[in-house]
Amino acid sequence: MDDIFHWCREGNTVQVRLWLDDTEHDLNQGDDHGFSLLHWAAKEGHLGIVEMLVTRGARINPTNLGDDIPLHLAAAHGFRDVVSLLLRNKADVNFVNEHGNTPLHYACFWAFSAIAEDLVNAGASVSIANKYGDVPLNKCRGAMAKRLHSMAVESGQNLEKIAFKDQSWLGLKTRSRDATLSRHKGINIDELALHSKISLSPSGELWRGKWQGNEIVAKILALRECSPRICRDFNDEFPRLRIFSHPNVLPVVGCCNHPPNLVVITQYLPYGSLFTLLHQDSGVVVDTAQALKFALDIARGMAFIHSLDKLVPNLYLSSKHVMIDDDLTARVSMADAKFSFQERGKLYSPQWFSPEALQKKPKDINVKASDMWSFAVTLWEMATREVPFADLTPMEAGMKIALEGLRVNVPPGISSHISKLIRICMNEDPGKRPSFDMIIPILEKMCTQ
Amino acid sequence: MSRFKCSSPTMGGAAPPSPVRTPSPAQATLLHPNEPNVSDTSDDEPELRVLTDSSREGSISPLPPKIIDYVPKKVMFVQAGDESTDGDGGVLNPQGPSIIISDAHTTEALLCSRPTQDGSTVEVGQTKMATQRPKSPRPNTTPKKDEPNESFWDKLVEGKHAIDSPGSPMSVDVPPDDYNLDDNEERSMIEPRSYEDPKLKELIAILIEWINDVLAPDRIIVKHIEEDLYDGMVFHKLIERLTNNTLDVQEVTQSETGQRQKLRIVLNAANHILGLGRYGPHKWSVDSIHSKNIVAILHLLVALARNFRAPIKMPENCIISVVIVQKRDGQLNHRIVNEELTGTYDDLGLRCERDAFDTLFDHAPDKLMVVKRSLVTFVNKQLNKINLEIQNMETDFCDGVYLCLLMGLLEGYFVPLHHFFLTPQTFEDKLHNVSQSFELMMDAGLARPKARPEDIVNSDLKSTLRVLYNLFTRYKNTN
Repeated sequence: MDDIFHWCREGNTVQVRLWLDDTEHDLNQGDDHGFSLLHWAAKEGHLGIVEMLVTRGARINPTNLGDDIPLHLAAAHGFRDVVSLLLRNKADVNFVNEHGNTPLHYACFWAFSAIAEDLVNAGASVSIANKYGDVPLNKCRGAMAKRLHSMAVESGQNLEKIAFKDQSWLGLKTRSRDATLSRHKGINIDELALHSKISLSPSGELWRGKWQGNEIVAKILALRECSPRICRDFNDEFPRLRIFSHPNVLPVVGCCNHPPNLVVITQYLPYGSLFTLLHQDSGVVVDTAQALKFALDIARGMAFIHSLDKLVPNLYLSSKHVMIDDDLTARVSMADAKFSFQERGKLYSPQWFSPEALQKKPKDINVKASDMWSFAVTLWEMATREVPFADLTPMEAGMKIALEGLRVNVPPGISSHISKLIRICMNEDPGKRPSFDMIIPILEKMCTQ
Repeated sequence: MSRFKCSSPTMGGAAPPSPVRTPSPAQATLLHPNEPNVSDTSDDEPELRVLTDSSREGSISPLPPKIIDYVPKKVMFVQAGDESTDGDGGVLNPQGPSIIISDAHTTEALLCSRPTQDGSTVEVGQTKMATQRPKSPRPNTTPKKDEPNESFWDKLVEGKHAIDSPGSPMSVDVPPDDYNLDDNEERSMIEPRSYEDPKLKELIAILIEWINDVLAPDRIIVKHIEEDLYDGMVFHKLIERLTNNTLDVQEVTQSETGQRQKLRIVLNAANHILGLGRYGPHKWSVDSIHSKNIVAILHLLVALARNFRAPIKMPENCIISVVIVQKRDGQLNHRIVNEELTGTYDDLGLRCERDAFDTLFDHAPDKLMVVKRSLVTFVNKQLNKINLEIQNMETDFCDGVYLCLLMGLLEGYFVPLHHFFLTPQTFEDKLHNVSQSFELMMDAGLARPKARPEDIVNSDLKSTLRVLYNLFTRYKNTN
């Protein structure tokens, strides 16, 4: 078996790194039993691979079909270094699998006392009962139970037994992604079961549907005519949008080239775009902390896209093109990058564009600096909860931004750090705007404050 | 505006030796003989007007004693020689396989067909109005043809010569009987000075460009108007492209009779298209075209361009002098006749299906004003949003800028300023703008405008109104 799961199991660091370098590879995919790469590496205790996966943005708490997260496996197999690495990266210490067991149950059962202590120190509860009514302490042998008990008391844990509740139907878990998602780029249009139309935009119709058991969104591109040349360009261009390797980039899963229909398929994310989350009734409260988290996510995604050898053409950053995942991760949507034959000569959202991008061809400007401007507008949008230049039509806004120096107004009420960051990122001189790599540490710092 | 009109006739990339860049006022008056608003240039400089007039007279007045110098054939040869000396006359498209328009000289030399009997040519060339086809330089071997023991090596040398020889008509081998005229025979050629007429040059350049545009899908490139068109192949292709019908003609013919036969069919088709009778005197004929008579070729091209609404603006009132030489009683006599190649046209859009606007123009000029006014109101209501306003319906749309902006305003998007030229300078810039605006209209689901981008750029009022009216009917209720 020469696949990535195998390499993660046997600890083939070189192969894993090579595999991760290909943007088409989804590091959050799972195998037939829902084991993600992180599951395997944690189970086998390959600290190097675990570290690599975590730094590349693998999800910390994906579940396999038994609802185990990698922390369960690392604790059960006694890899203390892996356990502490996962804990440092905010692994959910009290996560319950299908038997109702937490990682602490396993550490106790297998008598890994050091790991058990680490877990308790990280906040693992000693009183969660599994399906059979056993708490972790019931699984301990010898003096271990006593020591853990006293540690729990010291840290002020509530020792009342927490009964097992079957919550699997709530859908709170994030499963490792279906590996089939990244496996097919050309998709047969007949396999799409589209059931409801979400919206109609100038770029095409959005439909919800199912494909191989996955919830998907299909965008049927709006075309004046579907010439062979357009089909060819479509085939040439869409593979570049299949970027699975970064958690803050939402890839195009695949495409159907089925003239006269060209269809772009992405995962369905129930929260929709950042724009709808901010400006429409979504039931999610975006406070400053959450806004900063989104900003950090977007910055990471953009930094990754800018690090690619070949930039993704016609990818215009705006809150409309950032999608929000079910764990409230912001992801830059590749499906919203425009194909070369799409919307030529038309910008429907010039409000997010830098003045130079409205006036000059992409090849004549610093696209990365221009993206930074768009990021600043998005940041402004999250800080003020307003739509930029909502009262102007695109043509008016575009002309005024490009030729009359119209700019968003940073109101005094918002956090001074954020308003300062907006100003830095919106520098009139593209050469003086920072890169995404430079603002990530700033945002990280702001997030922890 | 007037400056722009001057430069408009140059279309596409290759600029003809354009008179416009070096604005000679003489020309300006020639170009706009009927336009009152241009006359101010000449009013400023009255002496130039005198110049113009004198030069006109000069071209008309003949130079009788010199006529022997203009041995007709030689003049033709000089003109033809430009092309054929620098290559084989064939046109090779570097991009791929192309149809080679072979030069008669070379073809004949290469095929080494029996040289045409002089008698036969005369026989076919019954009509007196055209010259005989200038004879090609014959291969050296012509006198040898009777030698019975022609050796294989001679053949080789002969073939080598045929290949290597540039096919120049100036070759010393041209037998003198070629420019001998029989009694009462006539030959005509453009008076050499007319070749220098900037209008003629412009007309030729524009027509060549038009042909090349039309025949681009066939990968045919015409370089020289006489050398490439006389054998009928280009006319054949041109008519097929313009009518989208196929003519039942042989694709490639290399023999002279084949070419003439082909020309006959092609010209009949052309006359049919142009609504001319099968018989009766036309300005062109098989003989005149096959003899590379540029006047006939130009007449036919102009007629076709007018008929098919070629998107070109031909110089108006292009008049050239033609020398007709006749031999009478062993004496060469000549006379000079003015040939009008193009007249004045009031419509650029030329023919198309008649619609309400034609009626409006012809019958209700007062209502035209009302239509214009309401269209201006409609357009300005949109443009005012971005602090713009049109003043003059005729001229403000020709550069396409307002059309692009209007589409953005009506359809709810911003047209990035790199997508069109905000301050267009050249005809090409304007054409680009108008074409882009047409693309935007079609993207919005409007039918392809009947007018052509070139018509708008050439400020054809009727075409401009048609386009705006289409927008008006679609968007009159949007705010």
